[in-house]
Amino acid sequence: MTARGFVAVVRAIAARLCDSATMEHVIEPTLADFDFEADEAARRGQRARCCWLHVALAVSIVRAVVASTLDRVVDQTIPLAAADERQTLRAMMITAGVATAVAVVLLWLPTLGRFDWLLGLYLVPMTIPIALPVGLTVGILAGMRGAHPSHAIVVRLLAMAMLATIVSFATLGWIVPESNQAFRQRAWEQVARVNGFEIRPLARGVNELKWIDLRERVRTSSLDGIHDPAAAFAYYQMWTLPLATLILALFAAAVARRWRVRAAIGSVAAITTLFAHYSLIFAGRQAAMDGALGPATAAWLPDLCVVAGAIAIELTARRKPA
Amino acid sequence: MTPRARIPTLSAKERLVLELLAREGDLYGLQLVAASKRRLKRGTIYVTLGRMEKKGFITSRLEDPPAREGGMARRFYTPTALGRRVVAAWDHVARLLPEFA
Repeated sequence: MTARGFVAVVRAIAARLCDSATMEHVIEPTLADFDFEADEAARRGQRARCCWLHVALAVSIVRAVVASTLDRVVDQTIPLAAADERQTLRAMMITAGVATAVAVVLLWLPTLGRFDWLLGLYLVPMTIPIALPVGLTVGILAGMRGAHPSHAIVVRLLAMAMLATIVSFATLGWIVPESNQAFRQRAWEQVARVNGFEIRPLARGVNELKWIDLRERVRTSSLDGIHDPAAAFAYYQMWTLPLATLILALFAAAVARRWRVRAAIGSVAAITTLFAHYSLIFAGRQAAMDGALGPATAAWLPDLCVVAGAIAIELTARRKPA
Repeated sequence: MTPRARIPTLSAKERLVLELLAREGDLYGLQLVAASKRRLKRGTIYVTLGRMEKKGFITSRLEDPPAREGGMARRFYTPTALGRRVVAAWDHVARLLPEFA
């Protein structure tokens, strides 16, 4: 395909995706500039630069279409000058996008190789307590785009985080145990049918017990003097995991208020924070199983570390010289 | 009652674009990216320029159609009087409140 043909194909694809204003002010100038620079490079015999410019053009058009669509949605929803609303909406849209992407990955991984709609459906509740904090943390840090969030934005985002925490708590305490059990039962029945095993109802593990049942089991074990760290850790985690949504949002807001975080750096900061938090969850669980830490301490440790980080950032922000 | 006019907002990128256009004269998108020393990105510069045109900070004109067959006319951008005043006002505020600059 010739260089001009490539530009024509890209233009035709963009024309199907974008409105006339976007074509006139975003796509056409992009194509014209790249076309001009590629022509100059070809005239000077710089074939490598010419090829590189075409790759860069394709990437730029994709980014321009995404950025322009995002901008158009924000513009249609909110007046152009309302910067607070734009920042809030952008953070919410990134939150929704990232949370959905995380949920899709979490659904896809366990059903890898044996696609089963019902198995996937049973896993949906399990993704909520993980996808929401990840989405919110990335949404807040990447959505500010180098600007400090105002007090009003922080309040709105934290209200959203509070709502997500409540949803997460209800899901983890009541819906996830039922869906987990249904998932295990269906997966077991599939295996049993293939291998000719007897199909029978499976006993529930600690992850399949509702909040109330788990609390009762921990209380009974304690009264009977039975050491049951798995149940105790799972019980405390039903509090700490949903609360992590609010705590991680608080941390992200503290970072965004302290530093001007650009989208790319914000995304990296969010992923690093989340990685550290989830590493602490796994380390805490192992420590609880080994008896190195009490189940309550081990379960609360990751959230407390993030809270300590948020407080430290807030304190250093206040000490910043005027 | 007439609606109260909003004060125009100016993002860091928009301010950079206006400063570059004021300093270098009329430029097209990729020239702005090059002049900004990679602070502006190829993928988002045109979205930013489109938004700035809507806000009235810059204006654009298409160059004469190129002589080469099938070539596309580039769009050159110029700061408007409003754009220049907004940058000047921003600089003034930044001098008064350096912690927000």
